[in-house]
Amino acid sequence: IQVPQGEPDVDLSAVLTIDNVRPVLANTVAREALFPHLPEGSAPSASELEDTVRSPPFRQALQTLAYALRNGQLSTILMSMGLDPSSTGDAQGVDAFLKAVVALVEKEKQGENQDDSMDTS
Amino acid sequence: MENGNWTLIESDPGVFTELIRAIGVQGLEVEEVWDLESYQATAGTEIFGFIFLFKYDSSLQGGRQPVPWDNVPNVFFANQVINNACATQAILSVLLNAPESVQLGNELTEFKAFTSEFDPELKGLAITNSDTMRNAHNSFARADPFVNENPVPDEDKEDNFHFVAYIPKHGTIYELDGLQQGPIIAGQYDQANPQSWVQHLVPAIQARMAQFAGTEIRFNLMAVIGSKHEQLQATIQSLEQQMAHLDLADPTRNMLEQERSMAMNQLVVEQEKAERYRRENLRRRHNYLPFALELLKQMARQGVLDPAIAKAKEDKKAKIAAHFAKKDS
Repeated sequence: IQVPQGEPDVDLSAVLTIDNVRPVLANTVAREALFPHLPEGSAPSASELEDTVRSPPFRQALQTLAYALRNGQLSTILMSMGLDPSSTGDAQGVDAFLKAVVALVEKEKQGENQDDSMDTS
Repeated sequence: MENGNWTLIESDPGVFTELIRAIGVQGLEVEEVWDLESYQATAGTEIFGFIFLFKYDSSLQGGRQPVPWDNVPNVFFANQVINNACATQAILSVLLNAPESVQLGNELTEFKAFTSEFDPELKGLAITNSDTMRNAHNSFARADPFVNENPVPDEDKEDNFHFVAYIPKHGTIYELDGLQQGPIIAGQYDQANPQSWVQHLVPAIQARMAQFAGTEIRFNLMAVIGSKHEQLQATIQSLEQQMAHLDLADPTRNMLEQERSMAMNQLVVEQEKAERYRRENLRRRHNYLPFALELLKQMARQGVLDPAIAKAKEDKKAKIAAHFAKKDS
C-alpha cells in the first residue's frame, strides 16, 4: 500500500476548533466583528459565540464549504466572499481559501495603517 | 438510491414538529421518547404513532413477513423511493393513518384522496414528487449558497440510517417500513381502549432493540402526539369555566385553582420548548459562511491563524501515516 505523496489539503474543521479560536473570542474588538454574523435571535455574547463554534450546524457548514472548495467551486466561492482569487498562488482547495483570507487581512491592515498615518500627520 | 433534490434533514423533534405544521397539519407535535413503557402514562395527550430511527441492516429483517398491501386497503403504505426523504415519509405514514379527528389540512387531505388507489410504489413516488412536501422538508436545509449543488458525501456512509413508523389501526399495530413489500403486523390491541396500543407496542420495539444488543448502534424513538400546548390551554379553559360557577368560599374552587395553576406551569414549560425549537431551527437555516470568514480573519489579525493551519496539517499527516501503518500491519 502506498502512502499518498505531497501535502494533504488542510482540514478546515481542524483549523476552526474551539481551542484555536479561543484567543479571538477573548478579544472585545473581534467579538464585536462576529456578533452581526450570528444566527437571528442570538444574544451578542461570548458564550453565544462559543456555542455557535461548537454547534453541529456550523460544523456541517464547514464541511460543506471545504467540500465545495476542493470540488471545482474555489473561484466562485472566493469571489462571492470578497476574496481575491489571484492571491492564492498555486495553492488549491482549503489551502487556497485560507491564503486568500490571509491576503485580505494583510490588505486591510495596510489600509488601516495608511489611515492611521494620515490621522497623525 | 438517488436523492432527487431532497436534502438530508436532522432527525429532531423540533424539526419534525415544524415540518408537520409546514405541510398544513394542525394540533400535532413530535417529541422524543426515552422510556416507551411509561410513556403512555406521562404523555398527557393522544398518541397517534411512533417513528423509530435505527441503523439499517438488511440481515436484521429476516423472519418477518409483511402483509400483502392490498389486503389492508385502509392502511396507507408507501414504498421508499428516495433515501433522504425517508424521515418525512415516516411522518407521513403516521399522519395519513391518523383518525379523522386529526386536522390534516387541505394539502394532505387532497393528497390522501388522490393516492388512495395507488400501489405502494406509486404512493412513494407521489410523496417524492410532491412540491409541498419537498419544499417543507428542504426548508430545513442550511442557507449555504452551494449546498444543494454539491452535497457533502456522507462521511460515515456505512451508517445507513432508516426510519420506520408504527401506527394503530382497527385493533392491529402495524410497522410501516418503506423498504418492505407491505405493512408488518407488530401487535394487537383492544379497540375499546384505543390508547392501550402503546402498551402492546412495547414488546415489538423491545424485540427490535434486542436485535441491536451488543452492538453500538444508535437508535431513537419519536412520538407523533396531540399538541400539548393546545391540550393544556383546553384544560385551563375548562377549569376556569367550572370555577366561574362556584362560590368563592367553595372548597372545590380551591382544588380547581390548584389544578389550574399546575396546568399554567406546564404551559410555560411548553412555551419555552416552542421557543427553543424556533431558535434551533433558525440556527439550522443560518448561512454560516460570513461567520466562518470573519472568524478566520480575526484569527489572522491576532496571528493565530498560521499556527492553527500548521498544526492542522501536522495532525492530518500524522493521522494519514497512522492509517496506512495500520493497514500495512
